[in-house]
Amino acid sequence: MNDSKLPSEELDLLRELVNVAMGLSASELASLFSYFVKIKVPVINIESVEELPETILKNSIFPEDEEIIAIRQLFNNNGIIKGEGIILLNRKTRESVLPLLRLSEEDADSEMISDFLLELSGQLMGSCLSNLLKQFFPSPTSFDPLEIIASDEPLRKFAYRALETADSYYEDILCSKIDFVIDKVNFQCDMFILFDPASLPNLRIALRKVLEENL
Amino acid sequence: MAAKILIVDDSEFARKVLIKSLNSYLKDKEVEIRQAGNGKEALSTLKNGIPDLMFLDLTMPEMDGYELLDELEKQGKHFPIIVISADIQSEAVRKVKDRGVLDFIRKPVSAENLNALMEELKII
Repeated sequence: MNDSKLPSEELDLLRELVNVAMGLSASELASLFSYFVKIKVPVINIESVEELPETILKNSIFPEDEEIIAIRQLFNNNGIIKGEGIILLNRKTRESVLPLLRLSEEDADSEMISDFLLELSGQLMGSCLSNLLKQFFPSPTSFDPLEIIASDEPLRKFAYRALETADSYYEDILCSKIDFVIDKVNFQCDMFILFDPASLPNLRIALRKVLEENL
Repeated sequence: MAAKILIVDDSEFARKVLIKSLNSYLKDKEVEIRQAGNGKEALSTLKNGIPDLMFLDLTMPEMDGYELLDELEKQGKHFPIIVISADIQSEAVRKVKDRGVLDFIRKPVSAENLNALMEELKII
């Protein structure tokens, strides 16, 4: 999909709605942990599926040789909008969750930390996607169980492997990238949202409706 | 003389919604509205004069709202500022209020809340 299929007015609106969703999710995360959550301007790319690996590599906060953990969750809003969210974390993120859990290293085992990271990823994706989609659609968004799709895999390798999976399904990708950073405990993660190609026309209709109602 | 309002937000949609919401309060008041897409553009606009009121988003590219507030402090430029953001963390609110911001409105903006605040502040 090239930019002409999503005019700049709609792209600007989508970026703003993702921005609002991120702000609300950061607030929810902050109240959960009592730490300030830093958010950056969301990146939204619309391109052909072949460009997915470079999109991930170019936009991730992690360097391409960094070993990452990737957690995926499928979402569906009444069949109108479907897609997947992917959270990327690194080893440091794993270490940084100890203060969030208020645990010392002796008290925490790796299974407990992995469970917590899964829980946290689910919370972030659920909150962010729900906060985004409820700005368009009144019905609640449903989520599939979380799935770990990469564990200690270099980001570059993961990005190209993600293409193999996506290539058979997607033609064009509307990819939104969000960062959540908690400076005090060195927590950082990326969240990529990929929209199902069949959802894109519905998303455009919804964007037009928001524009018409508000401007 | 027309009152000057500066709106700083990277989203054109957000700026338009804010102007539309303000119009019901401003009615026949004589007002000049300027717009900037980030902190740097705002600083450039401010070279042409200080506004009577500035609406400021926090999350923006190039220079965000916090950085702009710090820069204004450095330059000794003080004027009424209302922050408009979806980031309603208590620390975000504290951070901007520590930097002298007048008030904080949650995104998405409701014309009702905005007008109530404008009536209360009576800056314009």
